[in-house]
Amino acid sequence: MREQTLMSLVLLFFLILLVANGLVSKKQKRLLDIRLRQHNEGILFAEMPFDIGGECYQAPVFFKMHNTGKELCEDIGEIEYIAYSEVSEYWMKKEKKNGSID
Amino acid sequence: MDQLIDKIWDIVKIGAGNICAKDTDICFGESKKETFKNWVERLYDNLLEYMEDAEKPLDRHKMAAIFIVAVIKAEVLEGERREAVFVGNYILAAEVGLSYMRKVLNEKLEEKLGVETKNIERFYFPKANSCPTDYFRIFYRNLYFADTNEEWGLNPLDIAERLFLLEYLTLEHNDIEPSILKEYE
Repeated sequence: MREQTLMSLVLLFFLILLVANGLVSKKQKRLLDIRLRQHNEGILFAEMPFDIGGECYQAPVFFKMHNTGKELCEDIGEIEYIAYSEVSEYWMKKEKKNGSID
Repeated sequence: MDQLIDKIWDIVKIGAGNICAKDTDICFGESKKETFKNWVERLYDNLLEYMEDAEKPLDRHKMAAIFIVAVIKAEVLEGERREAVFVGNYILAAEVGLSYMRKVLNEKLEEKLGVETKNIERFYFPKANSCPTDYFRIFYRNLYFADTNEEWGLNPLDIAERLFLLEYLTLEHNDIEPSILKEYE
């Protein structure tokens, strides 16, 4: 009986150690993620003026998407739509049985 | 990302509006915007995995290719006729991608050559030698064939490479030395 109690206490002790270790790891990872994000934002937004809009500041991926040589978060401006097609081109005849297209 | 995607969606709407106005058998799915956006984001992340430097933004050819594939996959236009295959999405995709690329190319040219530099009005499409077919038609038809072939599929890197060559031809056709746009020493 005494041995069983002792065994249970040892198991409980190790279980507590395991859970505590997991919690500590999770907290460390969260702190590291925060530091990494702050580090990256420091690089990406080091030269950013104070009047840049909030949505731009929170979207580092916008910088990645917008490689035109303009300043960070600068609006790409209006894009003119240029058509190269005619109305007749929207439809193609269906394939013949031999696989050719007219 | 949302800001740029919104801009591209604006020109998708313009192009779709033009097409639908000319043909009542074709309609535009405004609700496809979310699908389009998801495709753009997914393709962007996929392409980054192939880049040497994943921190560097993708260039205009790859961005245009992403928008082209995203428009096709989102199927923003719907059309049905019994005796024909509808290729409107491939045309719209090509025109949207090229419109974006033209905008960014002209900005780059202005940056390199100054504000007095001539704008590129349209991309130059050579004629094929074996048949009197305009290369723009070959371009979007190849998108259709790639997309509908089970083994081929659409490859955005492949499309980006074609767009680069198209840009190169266009610059030479406009008497602009393509090497002025190089980004390395």
